[in-house]
Amino acid sequence: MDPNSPIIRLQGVNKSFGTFKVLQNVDLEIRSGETLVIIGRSGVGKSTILRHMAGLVAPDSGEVWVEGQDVARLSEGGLNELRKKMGVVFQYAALFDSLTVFENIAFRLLRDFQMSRSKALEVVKQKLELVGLKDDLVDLKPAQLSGGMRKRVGLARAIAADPEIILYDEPTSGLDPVTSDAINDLILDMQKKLKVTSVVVTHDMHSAYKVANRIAMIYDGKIIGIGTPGEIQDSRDPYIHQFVTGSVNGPMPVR
Amino acid sequence: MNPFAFVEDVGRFVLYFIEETGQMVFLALHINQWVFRKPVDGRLIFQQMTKIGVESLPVAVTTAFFTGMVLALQSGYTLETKIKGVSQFIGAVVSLSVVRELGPVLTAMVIAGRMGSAVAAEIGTMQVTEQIDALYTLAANPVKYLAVPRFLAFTFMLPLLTLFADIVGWTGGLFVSTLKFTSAVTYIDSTRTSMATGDIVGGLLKALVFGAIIAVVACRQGFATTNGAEGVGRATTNSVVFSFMLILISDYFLTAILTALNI
Repeated sequence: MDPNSPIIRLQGVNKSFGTFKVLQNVDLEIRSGETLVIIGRSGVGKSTILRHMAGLVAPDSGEVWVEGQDVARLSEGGLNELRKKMGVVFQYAALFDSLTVFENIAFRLLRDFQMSRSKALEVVKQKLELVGLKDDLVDLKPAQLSGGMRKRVGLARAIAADPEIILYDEPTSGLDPVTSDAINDLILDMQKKLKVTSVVVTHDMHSAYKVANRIAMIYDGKIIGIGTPGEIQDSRDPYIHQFVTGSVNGPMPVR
Repeated sequence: MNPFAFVEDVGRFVLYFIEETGQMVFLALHINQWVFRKPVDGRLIFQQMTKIGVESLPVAVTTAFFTGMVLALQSGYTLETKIKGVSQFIGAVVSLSVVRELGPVLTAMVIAGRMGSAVAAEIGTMQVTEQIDALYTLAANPVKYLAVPRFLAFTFMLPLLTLFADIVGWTGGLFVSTLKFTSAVTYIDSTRTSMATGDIVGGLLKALVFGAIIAVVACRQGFATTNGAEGVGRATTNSVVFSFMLILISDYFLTAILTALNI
């Protein structure tokens, strides 16, 4: 595939929940191998964009293309094939409570890839090391882990099957600064070593500047600016400026 | 105060109930589509059967034992004092009531309260914590992964539990009857002459249907959960209320069909 061609493309996507317009005519292209960070305040539709890419919600109008396929038109089987190349990191980890850490991370290895338990355990230990966790917690249940550990186990689960695309929903929120930076390094590492394409939703600007090739700012359901971290940092757009400097003064109401 | 507010509330509940029932039929069809599609995950099904069936056995048989005892006490008293001297029929009254009606219905209610609510809460919690979404992204269909094993477990285990309940309920009746009214031989004789295999089979058939109802109601309520912890609470309550109502409603029609077929 042409390295500069978009691997994910949103075209005129509209989405409403009830009468609330979450996304309005969103156009967005993510190139193969890049890390795109979507920033914006809470509740402006960042996660909804991610959920469209994962095929968890369908647009009311417009199209979502991933790896040359129209996600909303795919059959369940086709969507599952596509999802095999995709890892999703959920905001609150979304680990399966009834399964152990091992079973969570190896979920797909055991089910879809028919891997033996011993082989899967090797992979799980390797992924745990990648996210900075010790491998002695494989037999614990998610309830026995701290919030930060859960998050990292969720990350390990997302990368277990070596996806080509990783979608991160607030990967560093709720983590201490050191762990946050380790996650940032991991995102960078995945891109460098494995040529993974990443979409990161966050409002952690430190993380955004560190991992992004490009940053897109969303406000009121629309993309109001997109560019390199430097361009975003120096943007004269009053909304973007207010957000990246984290100021209460500006056009965005606090409420 | 609007004098029709009460009527409105009733109407709204009826509409909601009908709509939910429609959604449940939809889910039931969906479950059916997935039931026999490979791979069948035996471990998941076994796990649910243990939880729903084996672990519910103590509460199911306790309920049945006391139901049998109170039936014998009540019918013994009625037969003896009101109709005078026909207490030799206690065995027939207890065994037919338990096997045809109270065994399946009370077992179903106990299981709906104990396990239907638990399933609704579990799936509901998974829904509000994005675990259902996570299943989708890991290429696992939630209906196949969550609903199918629970559906199979409920529909297989409920008849089995009912069979135990029948035996224990009948024994409870025997116990009270010999203690207070007739001899054990009379009780057993009365059972033998009045009860046919069809009575037992009919009761177990009811249990099978009730099991399917509980499973579909619980899964539907779980999947439809919104609004965090409050929503999980509502899903749990609704699953019990809807199960009870649908069990009793379908019980009437099942009884009508079975009696029409002379079973």
